[in-house]
Amino acid sequence: MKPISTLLTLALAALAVPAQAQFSGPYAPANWTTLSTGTLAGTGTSAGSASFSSSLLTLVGGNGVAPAGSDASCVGGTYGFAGPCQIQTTIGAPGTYSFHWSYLTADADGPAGDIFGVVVNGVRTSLSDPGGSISQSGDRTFTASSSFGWFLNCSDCTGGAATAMITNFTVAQPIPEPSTYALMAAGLAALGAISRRRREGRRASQG
Amino acid sequence: MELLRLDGAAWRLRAVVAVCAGVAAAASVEARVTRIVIDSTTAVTGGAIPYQTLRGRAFGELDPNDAHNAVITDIQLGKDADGKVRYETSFTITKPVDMAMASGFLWHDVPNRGGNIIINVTERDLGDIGLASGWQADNSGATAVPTNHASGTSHWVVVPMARENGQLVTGKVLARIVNRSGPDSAPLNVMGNPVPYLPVSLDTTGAVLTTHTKETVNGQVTEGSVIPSTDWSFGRCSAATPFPGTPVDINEANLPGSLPVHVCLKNGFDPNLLYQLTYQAKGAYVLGAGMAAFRDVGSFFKYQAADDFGTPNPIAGRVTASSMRGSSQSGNFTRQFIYSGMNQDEANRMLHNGAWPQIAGRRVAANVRWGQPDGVLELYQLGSEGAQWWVDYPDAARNLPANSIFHRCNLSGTCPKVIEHFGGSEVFALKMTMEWVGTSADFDIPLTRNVRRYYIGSTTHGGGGGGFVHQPPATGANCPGNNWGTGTFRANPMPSTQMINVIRLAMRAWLMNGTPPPPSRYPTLIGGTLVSPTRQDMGFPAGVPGVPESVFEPENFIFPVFDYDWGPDFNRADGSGVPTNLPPPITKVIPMKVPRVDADGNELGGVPTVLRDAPLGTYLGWNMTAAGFHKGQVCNYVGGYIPFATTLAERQASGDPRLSLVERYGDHAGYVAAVTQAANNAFSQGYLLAADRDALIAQAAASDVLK
Repeated sequence: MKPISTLLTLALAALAVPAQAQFSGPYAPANWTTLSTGTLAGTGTSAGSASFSSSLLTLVGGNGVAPAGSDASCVGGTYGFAGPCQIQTTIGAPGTYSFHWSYLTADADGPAGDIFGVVVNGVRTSLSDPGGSISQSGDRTFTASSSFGWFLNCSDCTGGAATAMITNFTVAQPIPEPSTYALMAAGLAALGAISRRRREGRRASQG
Repeated sequence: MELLRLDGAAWRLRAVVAVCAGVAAAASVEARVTRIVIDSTTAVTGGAIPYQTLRGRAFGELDPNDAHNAVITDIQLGKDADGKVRYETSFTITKPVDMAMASGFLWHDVPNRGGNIIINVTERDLGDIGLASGWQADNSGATAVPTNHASGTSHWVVVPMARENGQLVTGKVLARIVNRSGPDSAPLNVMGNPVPYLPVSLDTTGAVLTTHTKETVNGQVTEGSVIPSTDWSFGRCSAATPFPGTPVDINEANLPGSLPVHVCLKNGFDPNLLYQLTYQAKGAYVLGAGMAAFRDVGSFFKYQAADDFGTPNPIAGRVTASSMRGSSQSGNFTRQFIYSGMNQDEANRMLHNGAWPQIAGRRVAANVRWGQPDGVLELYQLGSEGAQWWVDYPDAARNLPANSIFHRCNLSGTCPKVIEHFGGSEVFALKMTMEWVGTSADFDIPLTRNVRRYYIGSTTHGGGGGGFVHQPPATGANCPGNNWGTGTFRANPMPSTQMINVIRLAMRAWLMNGTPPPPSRYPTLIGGTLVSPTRQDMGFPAGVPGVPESVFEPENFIFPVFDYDWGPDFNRADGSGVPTNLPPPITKVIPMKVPRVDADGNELGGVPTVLRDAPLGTYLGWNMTAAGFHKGQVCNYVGGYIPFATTLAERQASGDPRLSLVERYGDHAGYVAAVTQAANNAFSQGYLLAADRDALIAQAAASDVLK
């Protein structure tokens, strides 16, 4: 009885994992991987950065003055198109991620040159609006099966950097699929049957 | 004295040699305006700086074998005996009387259907120079060449007609007649101007006149019947002069006075039918030579000191920066011009540093045989062929390779800085969003750093009259187009004037000082402000008085781009060549997008504007046709306005879901406060000038709203 009770308790506990708030515990800064991609050229270049506190993630995009004869500080980058130069930070954990984002660009040509968004299971999705204000914000929720994070792509990486800030960060563990519930129910039924047989076996041996 | 006379003769000889050498040198590098004539000089009244307008003509020649002109359709068929193609065009220069007062900035205005343009008092007070010159070479309507070329105020271009073996080329032309009734003959018009092409013969057996009982805006045509050739004529008729009437004059020597061509029906016209005529025509102008004329005139006045005969350029040496500028049809020409590589002059210089296509997101039929440059959006009218966007991007739906308006000028380093602005009617009727999201309509195609895009949401074509009038007269707005009719909703007052005022100064500062204009603002897919054209996706409120659910049906609501099959001699990317397949089958309907709206039905995305953010009603970029052949469909490219109810009781009585004025503003002071907040918001972001902010707040305070 005792092992079975323990199993049941654990199974029920697994169904009710509370949301993890802020960048702590399994989502502490040390568990995120920050990556800077692409090559910047020109003068005063910065590849950008990602910095955490327990309640805030700040991404700063790359920027620089393009070398003579070029329109871009990012080698291979083109204004307005998400290109090779990007700062991103991700975590390899499934879950349902909710957050508030705010974005501000110092680029005089507006937000089209610096693209902010999420990376869900390795796939980029833009959140910043290239036709919107230089200051933008929103609240979003995404479900990831393998990994999740944010990126700030500076396209041509000149004209002024953008900054994106993440707050109100929470994660809910994946809720099992119906099939998982069915499997769990079948397992519990099997455990019950085993337990009943054991009890009947004990009675028979006693009789 | 003898010595002196000899010296004088020597000087004169040297001067002649020097002038000849100068002319020869200039001729080798100049754009080929060879001669200018100033026909009149008129004082311009108003403003702080004395101005004058010079009206004149420029004569030019083109080398058909010059690569700069290779893009021009039929240029080889317009040659004179010496192998050159010649043109003559009108121009108007508006300049300070004392050129020392000139700012150095030139606006090269593109006339819309020939209309003259004098730069306004704001621009004159800045010391700017205005130049307007002809491009539309179809010799019809307001672009008709006057008998006395030195007279008139509109703009035109004389170009040759295409000839083969000395004979005028012939080909098939399409014209349509709508909303006509009774025994009077009907003109063959396009946008109210005559179709410029004469029939080869009065014999109707070679032409086909059919009727349509219905056409939807998304291209579904319900055919009626073919009218027997014995039952109609190329003639002018009436009840007093019955069928077949007086034959139309088809002698090309009498153009343009013999236009429009008329069609007379034996049994009169039925207003429930649309009549579509295809006929064999003659007199195809080399329309693209008009583009070259615009290029060459701009280059001459910007760069040259004098013409080949020594007539001085009256603004020589005074232009340090310049922008071409066109509105609506001529805005489409501006884009066509850049697309065609014409911003590079024949001396390989960048013609204009800037370009401002206004309320225009397409191109125009200015370089195609049998082109009708007046046509803009109706069925079988050209303008959406090929790339309409600014960066090279593939045209997947039409199976065309990556291309852009800037493609040619990128190769020559002659792309101008561009500011484009437009509003609601361009989206709903003028096929705008293909410029933003391509033919697949699934990606926000980026701009370049040299392009600014400003969307002025909820505006009619060109913007409304402004003001803060809650209940203007309940008269349906007039719909443009080919005898289209009127709309069910009153005219949309949402203005674009204030944003144009911003752009005017921003363009000058950008080109003269390098100061970046305010960032672009426009609806996007990513931002969720650009959606599919359904009431549900738009979020348009249900139950707004006068707005039936049926108007949102695809057959009524938005004019899409059609991919036509014009035949093998038509260049689908350039919109040039020779269309031979008329009427052209529609091979694909390109999906359009529209702005999402708020709970009031006013558009989201775009620059902040005062009336949108402190609304008195719903401002529509579309209207609904009240009667006639197009009844119930979007009313061409005119917007509409549906006022809010004043009180809660009033709106409940009509079932209006939108809050009343009292509910949202309380009283007059509340409304003025809302206007003040909206004006300060637009100003703080750079989309409203301080003077306009103050004027709008004062207008709202003086208005009768909630008084």
